[in-house]
Amino acid sequence: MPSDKIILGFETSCDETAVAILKGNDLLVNIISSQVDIHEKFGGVVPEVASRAHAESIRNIFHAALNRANLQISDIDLIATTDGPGLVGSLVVGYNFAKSVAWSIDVPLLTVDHMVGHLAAPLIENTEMKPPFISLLVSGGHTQIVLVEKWGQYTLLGTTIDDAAGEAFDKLSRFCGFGFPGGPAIQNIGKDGDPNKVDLPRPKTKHEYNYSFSGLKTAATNFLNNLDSKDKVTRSDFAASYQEAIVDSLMNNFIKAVKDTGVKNISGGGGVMANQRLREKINTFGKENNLNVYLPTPKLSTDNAAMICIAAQNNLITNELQLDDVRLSSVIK
Amino acid sequence: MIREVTLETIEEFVKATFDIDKLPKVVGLSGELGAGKTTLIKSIIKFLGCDEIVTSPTFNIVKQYKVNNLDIYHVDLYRMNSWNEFLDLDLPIYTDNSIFLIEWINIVPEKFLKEMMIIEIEIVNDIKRKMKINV
Repeated sequence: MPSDKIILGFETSCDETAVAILKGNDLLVNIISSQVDIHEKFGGVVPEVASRAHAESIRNIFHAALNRANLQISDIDLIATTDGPGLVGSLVVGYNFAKSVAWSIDVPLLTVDHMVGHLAAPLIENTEMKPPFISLLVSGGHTQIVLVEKWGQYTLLGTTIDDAAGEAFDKLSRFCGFGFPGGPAIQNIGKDGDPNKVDLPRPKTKHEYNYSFSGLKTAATNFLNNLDSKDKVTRSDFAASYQEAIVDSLMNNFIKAVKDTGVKNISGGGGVMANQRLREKINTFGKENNLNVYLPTPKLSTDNAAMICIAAQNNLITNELQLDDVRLSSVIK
Repeated sequence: MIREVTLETIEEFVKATFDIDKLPKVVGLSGELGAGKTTLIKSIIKFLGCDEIVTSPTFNIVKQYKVNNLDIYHVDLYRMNSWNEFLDLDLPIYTDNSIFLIEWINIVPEKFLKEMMIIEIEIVNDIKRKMKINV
């Protein structure tokens, strides 16, 4: 049984201002206030805009979280917050807010690595998940295959060497005027399209588990630039084909890594893990190979504070901080 | 100066274009999506002696690398609205021991462009690119 301590978590590493409260196995509240509306007109996340928006919303979200959980600030036993990687301007807002609350009620402040948070996220819904497992972490900022042999021991098997999968979605979506964020926009437009209509590459890299999406993006824009009206490709076909190429590429290396290591538990996380096609393929692969699949629901896959709480509960922390010790990192470890 | 470059000759192109003892402080790159701006910058950063994997900074806006005493800043203005937004980030541009490699310079005002080495990349065909250099 996990400890019954009430943990308040903050996560502001990118464009989501997130606050969650976890007590034992109960996720009492998990609020994610996305800045997508604000960033939509920019076609992406702008750091200065992101940190200002965090600063404006975090206090309200914190109070809303306490209200929804029907708790007083004095009920909190522990506070956890992300210390990186992420946009430094954004991290600072959540970090300092968490620190101030910890100081005001005199409880410990634990810091959690954002990526460890994603690795731990499946534990919220699947307390039985245990290492060793392999996780596919895919978002706008990273695309990684991570082997967790035991908690605290993480091996980066593969990473992107150019664009992250989320960036591949965003850039093409912006090029086509499909909208932001690109992943959901392309998924939506391609819903009824033919994923095999447009022949796009599934790029390979020299290193067997690494990813590369820059060539795919170039191939897709080349295709559009040379498009002939005789080709009879609809927007929907094109979006579906592009999504299929990204999902296939992600699956190819992931499957190889799982087979090579012989690990029986697989999981995932990050914003791109909300993609239905990718989830479908991972679930099918798991079923066909008798693997345990621990995919967090989309709301726990994208950036959220519940994952920070669960990581803290399992003591998967970077640091227990003295209140004058501040270190933030924008570097992906 | 205009050069035709392919993936096979890009390292050669970088070697011929940059002098390690006389590096520009800011290099600005223009060219449409898929032209190869990040690919060229990967090659420049490798030429500068850095072995790290260079990934697209579009999402993060800025990625930083260090080799010996040189701070390398790989910047992408793709998602920014104005040059002022970039200046708001307060990065140490034009300082000693730094080099800024900047993608999508179309939002940079003329007077700042004059202070940069500019490489315009034009797509000739699927494998060939035309590089126009203004120092």
